[in-house]
Amino acid sequence: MHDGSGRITAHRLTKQFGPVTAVRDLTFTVEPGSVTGFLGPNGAGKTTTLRMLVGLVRPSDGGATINGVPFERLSDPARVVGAVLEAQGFHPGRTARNHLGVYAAAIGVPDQRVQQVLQLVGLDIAGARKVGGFSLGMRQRLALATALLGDPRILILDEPANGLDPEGIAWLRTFLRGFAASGRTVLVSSHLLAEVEQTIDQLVIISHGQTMYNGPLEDLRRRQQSRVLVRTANLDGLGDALREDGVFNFEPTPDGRLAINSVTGEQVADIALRAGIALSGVEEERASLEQLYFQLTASPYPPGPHGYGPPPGYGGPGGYGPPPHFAPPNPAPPNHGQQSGQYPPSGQYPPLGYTPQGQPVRPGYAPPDPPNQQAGQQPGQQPGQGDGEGQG
Amino acid sequence: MEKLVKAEFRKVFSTNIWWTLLIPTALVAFVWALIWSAFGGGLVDQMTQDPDFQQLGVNLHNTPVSVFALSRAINITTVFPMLLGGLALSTEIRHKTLTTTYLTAPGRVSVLSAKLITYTVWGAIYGVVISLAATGGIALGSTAHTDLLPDATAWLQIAAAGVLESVLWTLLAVGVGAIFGTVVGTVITLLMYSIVVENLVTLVLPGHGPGFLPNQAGDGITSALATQTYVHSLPPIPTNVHDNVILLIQFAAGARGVFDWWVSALIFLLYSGIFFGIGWAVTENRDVT
Repeated sequence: MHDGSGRITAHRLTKQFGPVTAVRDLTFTVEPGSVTGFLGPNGAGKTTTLRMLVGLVRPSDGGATINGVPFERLSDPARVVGAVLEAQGFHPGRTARNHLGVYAAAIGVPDQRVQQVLQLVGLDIAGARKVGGFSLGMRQRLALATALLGDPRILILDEPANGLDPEGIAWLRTFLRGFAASGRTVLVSSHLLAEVEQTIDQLVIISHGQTMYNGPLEDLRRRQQSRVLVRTANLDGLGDALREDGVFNFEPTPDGRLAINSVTGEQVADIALRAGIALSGVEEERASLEQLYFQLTASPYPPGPHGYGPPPGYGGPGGYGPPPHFAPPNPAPPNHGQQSGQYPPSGQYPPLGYTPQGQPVRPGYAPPDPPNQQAGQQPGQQPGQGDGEGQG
Repeated sequence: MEKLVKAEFRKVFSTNIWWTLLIPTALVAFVWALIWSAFGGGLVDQMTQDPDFQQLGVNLHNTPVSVFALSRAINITTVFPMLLGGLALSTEIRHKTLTTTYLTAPGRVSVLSAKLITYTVWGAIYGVVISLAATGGIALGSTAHTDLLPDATAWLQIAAAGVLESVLWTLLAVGVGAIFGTVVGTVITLLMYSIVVENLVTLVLPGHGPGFLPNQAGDGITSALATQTYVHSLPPIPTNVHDNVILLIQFAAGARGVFDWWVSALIFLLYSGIFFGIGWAVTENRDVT
């Protein structure tokens, strides 16, 4: 029997689909009482991992437990874990109520529960309609209603925001926070950090089937470092002055400025004043969480068979590319805190083709139009702030 | 397990397929039996009025010719419960409801066991409808020749054999649907095999060869009974023509090369078990993505 803890563990999960390794040696733990984000680019192995957690896909190696036992050993699985998975389907000829009725019978909950979950997800007026006529958002709500039928302690959701309107996303966020606040477990996957940033407190980041980060979101926030960009006519002089003051971590940017890491603007101004060097512009910037996420998931390899590659604008000559020390170690670091956290030697912040702020980012991961990410952007601003309501 | 069986029944009742297949089932069984029994009655009339035939001294009246119509109607109509069974798992795979089905059941074995029970019942329901509709067909087709109807015992045997045949076809098809995992592949394969492929193979196989094939073995459950019933109703057949007369009767029953009804039932049970078993093993190990 299971231990009722609400804990999910994955231990060295590996899945091989023919020649393709979808998931490699993945280890992480999801604790109850929190919302854990499961993040990674498209094709990183999120869906496969979630399906392995609930026994739909058999791991080639390693294993996963829910409440201390593998999913297959749960005698009443739907009362322990509810899952909203991407390829979860409905018979188009069945009404929403009948669909729920089928699974209410399978779980062994009374039929009144059908009406309860329909109301809970706001679908009660559509209960008598056939699912074939449902929008994507309604299907997502029905899938959530199905997952909630057994009143589970654990909820696993694969890209639940897909197809939901901003109102639906806001509702889902509130719902998941409340669900976790009652001491239960939520694991929610997304390929966009901004989409779930306001919902989650824990974070598992995977890339190319490996764990890149597993820990609190707050720890990741703390790793956001600041750097200072200065413009001066006397680059060499400023460099010397910095070195004299014990600051070595700086490099010139392609646009002729100097990027100095781990200092404040005031410190730089003081050093320059003492050395008698005129500065024509001082700009402080902070790496956004989204940029950190990108650094963690950026491909150290050429685009693989998953079809995943960095969006256009990344990695090209003169463009942004993670420096060697950003490359995820192979095998994956056992836990967070292993990254150097340094800036890439490039002045192009934020990187081209990656500006989630200001407009809701829709599934599909399309880089915004070029005019959106030219000058005038505040690099320090975090995605999800301001009017990014639709992203969480 | 009762919970999952209840869920399986709700699955069937909450879509149209069970009655959209049941209507043609009843219609085809009825019409097929009606036409064949009327044709058989007409043939008996014609033959008994023929002076040459009268010289043989064989009285075809009071022989249950309509059992052939009954068994043929049952055999052709079992394609419908076969289709119902074929759709059991393939539609779940197609509409991806199998994910939810697995998430709400304690293990895949229990899901397949629930389907086994549910579709045994559905095969029986279809079998009862088929046997009753075919009985209605021969009753109406023999209104002018009530002497050609079988007695109650013979009728009950063939009707019950029809129910058994329907159940076994349903389960065999559940297995085929699980193996293919696609609706189109399952339906085309089942129909092509049972209607076209095997009938062609049967033509060239000698002796009891056809009786070993699934379709002929399944049909043999009723057609061997019909043959047996009819032969028993005849006066002793002279030994010099015995084998040819039996062949002729088997041909009339559509039972060329079949074994006794219970041997046919065992052979067909074996096929159903094999296909259901393979389908089970495939489903047990297939990743649901």
